[in-house]
Amino acid sequence: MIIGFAIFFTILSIIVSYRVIKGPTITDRLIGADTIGIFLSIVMLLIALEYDLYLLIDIVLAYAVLLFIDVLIYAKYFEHGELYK
Amino acid sequence: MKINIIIAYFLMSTGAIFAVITVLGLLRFPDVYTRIHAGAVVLTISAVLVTLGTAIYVWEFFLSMKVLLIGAFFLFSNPMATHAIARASYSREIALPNEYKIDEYFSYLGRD
Repeated sequence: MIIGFAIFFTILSIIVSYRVIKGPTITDRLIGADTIGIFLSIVMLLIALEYDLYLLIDIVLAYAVLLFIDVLIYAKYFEHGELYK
Repeated sequence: MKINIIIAYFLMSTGAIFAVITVLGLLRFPDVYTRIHAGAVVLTISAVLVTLGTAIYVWEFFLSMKVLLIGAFFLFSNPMATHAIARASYSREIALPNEYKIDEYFSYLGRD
């Protein structure tokens, strides 16, 4: 049942990649990439639950922090045109 | 079947339904800013519900606290990142409508 949820979220992230590939503006691509990252962290959490790989929970924590910082850096670069002013 | 497994499955199913609503909003909304709204609000509650269900499913103290830390981080980080993207997109005039009835953010931000 847990692995069914993992497969379900994987299929949802594949569907969202349509918006990343064919987004009209760059904001759609950023939002789609953020959504795919959060779905994949949820999939990693569920896989850690199914196969008793509790090391993966630490990896999910680091992945969430890296995703957040990544999106903030993209937004700041996209707004100002440079990172350090 | 113990009671915490049933509660965990209920929370994960609710999170999966909210994830489906997120994907429908991202694919079907007509404007950029409405898509940002769909990716901010519904995705946050979906991720928090699934991590809460995982923490109840594990039911061991340190692992549950670690998973709840991930959920609290999603609860704080995802609206902040989405707000940064929306602010950058407004400041760069990405896909704005031609005229607004009320535009309070222009006098605050000073779009040039």
